[in-house]
Order: sequence, then structure tokens, then C-alpha cells
Amino acid sequence: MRIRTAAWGAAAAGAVAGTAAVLCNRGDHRARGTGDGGAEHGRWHVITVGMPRSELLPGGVLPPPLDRLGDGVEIRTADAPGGRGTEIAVRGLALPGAGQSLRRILGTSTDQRIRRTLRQFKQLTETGEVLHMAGQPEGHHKPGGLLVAVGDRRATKEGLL
Amino acid sequence: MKALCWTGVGELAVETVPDPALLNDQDAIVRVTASSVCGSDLHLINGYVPAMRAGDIIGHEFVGEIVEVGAAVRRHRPGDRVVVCSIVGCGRCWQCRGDNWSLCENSNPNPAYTETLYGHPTAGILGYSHAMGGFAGSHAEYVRVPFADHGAFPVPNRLSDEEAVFASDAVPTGWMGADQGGVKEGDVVAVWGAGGVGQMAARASYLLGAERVAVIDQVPERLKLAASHCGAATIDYSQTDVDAALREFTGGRGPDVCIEAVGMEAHGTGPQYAYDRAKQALRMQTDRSVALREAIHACRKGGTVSILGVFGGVLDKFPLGAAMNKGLTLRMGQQHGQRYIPMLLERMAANEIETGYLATHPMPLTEGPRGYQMFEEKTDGCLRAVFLPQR
Repeated sequence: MRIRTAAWGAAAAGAVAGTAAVLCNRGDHRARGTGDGGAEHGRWHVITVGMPRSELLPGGVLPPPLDRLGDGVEIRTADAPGGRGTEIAVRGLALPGAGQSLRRILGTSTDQRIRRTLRQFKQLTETGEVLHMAGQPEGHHKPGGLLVAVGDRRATKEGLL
Repeated sequence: MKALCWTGVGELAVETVPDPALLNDQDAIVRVTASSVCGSDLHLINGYVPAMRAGDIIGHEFVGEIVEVGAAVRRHRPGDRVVVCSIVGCGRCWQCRGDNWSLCENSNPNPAYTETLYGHPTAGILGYSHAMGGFAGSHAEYVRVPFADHGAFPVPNRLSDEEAVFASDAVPTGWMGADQGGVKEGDVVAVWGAGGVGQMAARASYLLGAERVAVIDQVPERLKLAASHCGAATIDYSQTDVDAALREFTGGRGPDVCIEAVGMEAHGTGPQYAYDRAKQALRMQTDRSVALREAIHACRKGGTVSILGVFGGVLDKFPLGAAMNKGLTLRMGQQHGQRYIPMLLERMAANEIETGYLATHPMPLTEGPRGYQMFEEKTDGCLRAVFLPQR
């Protein structure tokens, strides 16, 4: 796992200069994350967590469940504008390929792990828990509901994040 | 326990299901004493909201007694009588802290559905499809309430269950329609839809200072209630040219604020309605928007159209030209109920907002399918069927 706590956004305290720095660094982030065709890694998945970086990553140490993402990912953090907390960006270090496509079908791709982990981290940090749904009461199922059941199983791993 | 389940498009059944359990430390279990139908349930039942699964318990507007709380619940304890907001809000994300509870960032356990459909995930809603979280609903003897400290509110003793139940959704949604529409002293307001939400929007408009309020519908009993309980002028769109009537009502200016409380299954008259109906029946469009088009057309220049009716997909023939060239402001959203409910319960207890008359058809939960049929077909003057699971 590669961790960067680079200062994109860190200088944002000063109004104009800070804003310029944030914009500049966000541009850099976008270029690296989504516009770098041929690079050796996947795209950035970014989420904002409502806690200052100093509290979220004391000493630069990753808290759970981020620490469980392992060595195959790169993580960057930045101060979110307007005091909205910390932006956390994660991308897989391997280029998505046939293996990842198969893993995606199986629900075990790197991108899926990253999305689920980021969402869980945000929930845990902000609310103290991840909502559990298994064990809710429900009536009789029909075969037509199978697609929804499959969708639910993937609903924390997919999406636009 | 008994629960009312969606079993397929247009089908409901009362089934025996397991009792709910605490699944998170911030959960509460509520013994439901009254649970109301809502117009937006019809969109679920009729297959216009994606990601419903046979066996899903519906219902999201309810009152009851807390019987069990998780270890992290601080504001409630067993025995408390509470009304619960239909929207699930965590109370601590950036949106909840900004009082935009239906935009909560942490309460939808199935974020991929709405993130893909709308660009971002929306809040969870109790009993309102897997796209909105897949939470079991309140048409049951018991229901699990996640983030109970933020979603459940104590009910004043002077309010009966059949009055308090509407503080869950109809009252705050109606209030939000007037509030986000910016209704102020001297305004003229038009409300499309004389259902529970439309009635509450009309009442809220007066309380926020409107001088004249008109309610538009075609059901005589509902229009009578809007006149007698809300003091509104009424327009029967099946008998009257609504645009002409509103010009007359507003001195030719058009309403300052137009509140749309109808949603994706709007009824109307004429070829436009027939066109919408045919396209939706063929699943060639997701939403019928006759009332919204009419509201945009009628609204005064520089006015505000406030949309409360639930829309799910993409609108056909949306009059953006009228909205743009008249400089309209469009406001919309699922209710931010937690923002309003404590204030509204006080107003209800002080008789500023009357709600008991909305519950035209209280009945046992076992009659759930019949209640929804009456509600949808508007038979016997049914404004709201309210299920009483403990009777």
C-alpha cells in the first residue's frame, strides 16, 4: 500500500492563495486519476469524510477498515474545501484487465473492494457504525426478486464512486 | 408478526413474517400503533419505482411505542411514544448537519442504485424499495428504526395516534413545500393535489403568511376538505380550465408559488394526458407530469415552483422554455422531515395544524390490501387509510 498525504488542499486556509492551491491540486488529482490512459493503475475512487485530516489519520496511520486494503492500492488524502473534512482517494495499483473483469463478476475486484471499504470507512467515522440489513423481516420471495437480491449484494461495491 | 407485503406489481398481501430485531446499536424497535398509506406508495405498488422485491414490507408514515433500544441510543427508552420520520438520517454527515436530511450520506445501505441512476446516492427511506435502502416498512406490528436518536420524536400527549401519524411525512412534506417555495406574507399560492400532502401544503402556506391559497384536484370530497379544513379556494380540473381560473384568482399575475403535490402518476384531461398515459403504460416513459407542466405554465413571472410529488426517472415534454423565459425558481426534494417535525408537533398540539380529518379510513392491518384499493380508487371519500396493527 502506498500512502500519500500530499498537501493538495492543505494550503487552503488563505483565501485566494488557498483556493488556487486547492484548484491546482484538484486538477493534478484528476489528471492522475482519470486522464492517464496507459498508466499502470486504475482510476481514483474519492470520498469525503467529515473529520479533519489530523484527527482522521493521526500520525499518518491508516485506521480500519482502510488498513485492510493491503498493498495493492495507493491512498491520497487532502483537506476538503470549506472545512468539510478530508478527501480520501484510493486507486488500485494494477491496471484493470481480464482478471479484474472476472473478479468483478465474482464481486471481488479491487475497485469493488475499494468502494465498499471507502463507504464503510465514512459510515464508521461519521456515525460509529455500518448499517446492517441482514436479518430484517420479509415475506415470501418470488423468483423475479432474484435480480434485486443480486443487486443488493453488490450495492455497496458498485456505483459511480 | 403480521405485515403488509408487496408481492408483485399491483399486488399486496398480509403475511406472517419474523419480528424485527436490533441490528445496530443505534436502532430502536417500535411497536406500531398507526401506519398510514401515502400516495407515493402507489408508485411502488404499481411498479414505477425500481428495485422492489416480493416480500418487501411497505409503509413509511407511522407512530408507535418504543419497546427496545440499542446500546448506543441515548434520547429514547422503552415506553416512549414516538412518531418516526420516513426519511432515515444519520444526523452527523455534512448534509444532515446542514439540515438536508433526505440527502443523508450514510443512511442508504444500497448506494449503488441511486448513485448510478441519479449521480449520487440518496438517503434511505423506510419501506420504500431497495433503491432507497431496502428497509422493512411500518405496515407491520413492529418496525426497526435505524439511527433512532435522529429519526424518532416524542409525541405530545394531547395528540391521538390518528393525528400524530401524519407528523411522520404528510405534515413535514407539505410544510417543506411551502417553506422551500419561499411563501411569505401576501403571497398567492396554488397547490396541485388535494391529498394529505396537498392539504398540509395549503395549511402551511396560510401559516407562513399566504393571503390566498387555491387547491386543484378533481375529487369532490377532497376539495371539500381543502375548503373546510384549510380555508382554501378550490378548482376542479375536470370541470374548469385551471389556467384561466388561476388568472382570475390572481388578478392575471399567476400564483407567486405553485406547489406540486401529485408526482409521477398525475391525472388530467385532454390529449396531453392521454399521450402521457399511453407512453407510461407502454413503459416508454417513467413519469406522467401533467400537473407539473400546468404548474410551470401557470406560475407568475419570477415565481417559484415547489415540487413535492415523487418523480423517479426522466420527464417527457418538460416545459423548460416556460421556466427559463419566465425566470422561475424550481425547488424540490424528498422531505427533510427531521428539520421540521419537532416544530410541527408543537403546532399540531396547539391546534394550528389539524390532521385527524386526513384519517378517513382507520382499519386493522389485516385489511391492508382493501385499504390501498380504496385509497387508489378514491372510493367512499378515502383520503387516507390508516392501519392499526394492534387492533
